[in-house]
Amino acid sequence: MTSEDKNKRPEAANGDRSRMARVTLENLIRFKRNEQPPAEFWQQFDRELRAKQLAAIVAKRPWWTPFARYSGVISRYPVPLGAVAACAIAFAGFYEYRVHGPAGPSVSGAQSIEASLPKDASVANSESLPAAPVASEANSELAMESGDRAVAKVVVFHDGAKREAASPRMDSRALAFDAGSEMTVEPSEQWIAANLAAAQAAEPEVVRNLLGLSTSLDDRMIPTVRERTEPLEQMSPPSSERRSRLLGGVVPALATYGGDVPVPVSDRFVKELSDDRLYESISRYSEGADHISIKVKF
Amino acid sequence: MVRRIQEGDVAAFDILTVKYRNRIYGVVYNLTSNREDAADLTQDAFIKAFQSIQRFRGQSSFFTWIYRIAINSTLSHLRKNRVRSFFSLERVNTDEPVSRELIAALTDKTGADRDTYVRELQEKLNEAMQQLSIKHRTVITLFEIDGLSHQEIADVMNCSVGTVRSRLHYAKQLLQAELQNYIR
Repeated sequence: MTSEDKNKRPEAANGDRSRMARVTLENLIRFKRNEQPPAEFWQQFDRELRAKQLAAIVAKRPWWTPFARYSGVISRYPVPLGAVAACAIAFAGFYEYRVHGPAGPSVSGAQSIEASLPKDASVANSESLPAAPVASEANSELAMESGDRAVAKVVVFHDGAKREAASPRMDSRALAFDAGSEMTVEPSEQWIAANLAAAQAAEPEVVRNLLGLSTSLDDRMIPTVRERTEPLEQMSPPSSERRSRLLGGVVPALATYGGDVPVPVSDRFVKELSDDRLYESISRYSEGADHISIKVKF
Repeated sequence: MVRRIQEGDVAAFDILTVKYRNRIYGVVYNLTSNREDAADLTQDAFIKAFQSIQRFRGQSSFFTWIYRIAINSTLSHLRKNRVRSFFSLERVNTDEPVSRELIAALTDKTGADRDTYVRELQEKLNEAMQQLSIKHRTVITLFEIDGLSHQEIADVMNCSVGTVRSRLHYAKQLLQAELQNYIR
């Protein structure tokens, strides 16, 4: 049998061969259509499907299930959606900043301070307080500078007059916040306001001093919006700075030297340097026909 | 029927399941070449359809809808298990006329030898299919085995008809190279 005979398909072997003259790729792929499961498979399939169906009915679906269908869209366009999200967050932040401004956090901070302060009426009621040592004016100022807790101490340890005078500070703060937000006025605050009025009538000088302190405290707690200025405008040019530094060193020496030229002398420098120190700081002094050379060491 | 399912009629859903399960299973099986995975994925597709039946608005037929669910689930499964792939093949029904013709055209063997040859051909076919990328495999399965048109495939795969044609052409080239011993 020649090779030609081997490749030749014997027609007698199968009657169907005449119908499929050549095997194509499409025929081969379609051959896969005949890979089919037996009938028993479907019985098991139906049983499992029913079990899963019942489980799905009974099972509680997680809360994120409705959002899960959007995950496909997100995974398809991650970069554009991420960019859009970033822009939205930035815009929302900018909008919040523009609407509420920087006063927002200060109000909340003030509320926390307000909450930390003692609100009982004993602050205003002078009879109920024990005979406490009277703090000096300087100490009370230091205490006020040191923080909010110290403010409460000042109120407690002052004598009757100062106690009444110290209380309006809290009141003024509370009223200031009332103007900005819809806070209700506490009874203690009403007491404080009444005491303030009484103290103002009795000792206006003390009240004025303490209110001045309270104003500074309020200023610290509620930052005012400053007018914007160009940073470059606030800077002095390096040349003038250098010039003032040199003049600052030279001018006092010139003044002691006895020159007649009126020279502007820096107040700060005059305060800081005594004549003795200035004398000691001049390390080298030489005088020529047309120049004076002074080397100053600080 | 869909309205009945939406109203909570589970029996109506069973009817639709019996009606479409064979074809859904077929396409999933040809994509995975694994009968257990195909059965699980087909069941999951029906469960998903059952759970989401309230969202079905009737813009397409129920079959198209569940078909897309099944295809998307299968593609997601294939992407997750890209590395792991082993065959679990169904038995070829050689009584079908097309199978008979093809086998007769390929071999003169009869009896057990013929069955062995068919088994070998089946493995070679599935191996060649699994060597294709997921996209190419999907296109060739939907077009050649399931008989969808280019437009329908484009709709299912969310791509253009041109892309479908291109993928189909490339996939056929690769398969041709793999199965050249059987092509006469």
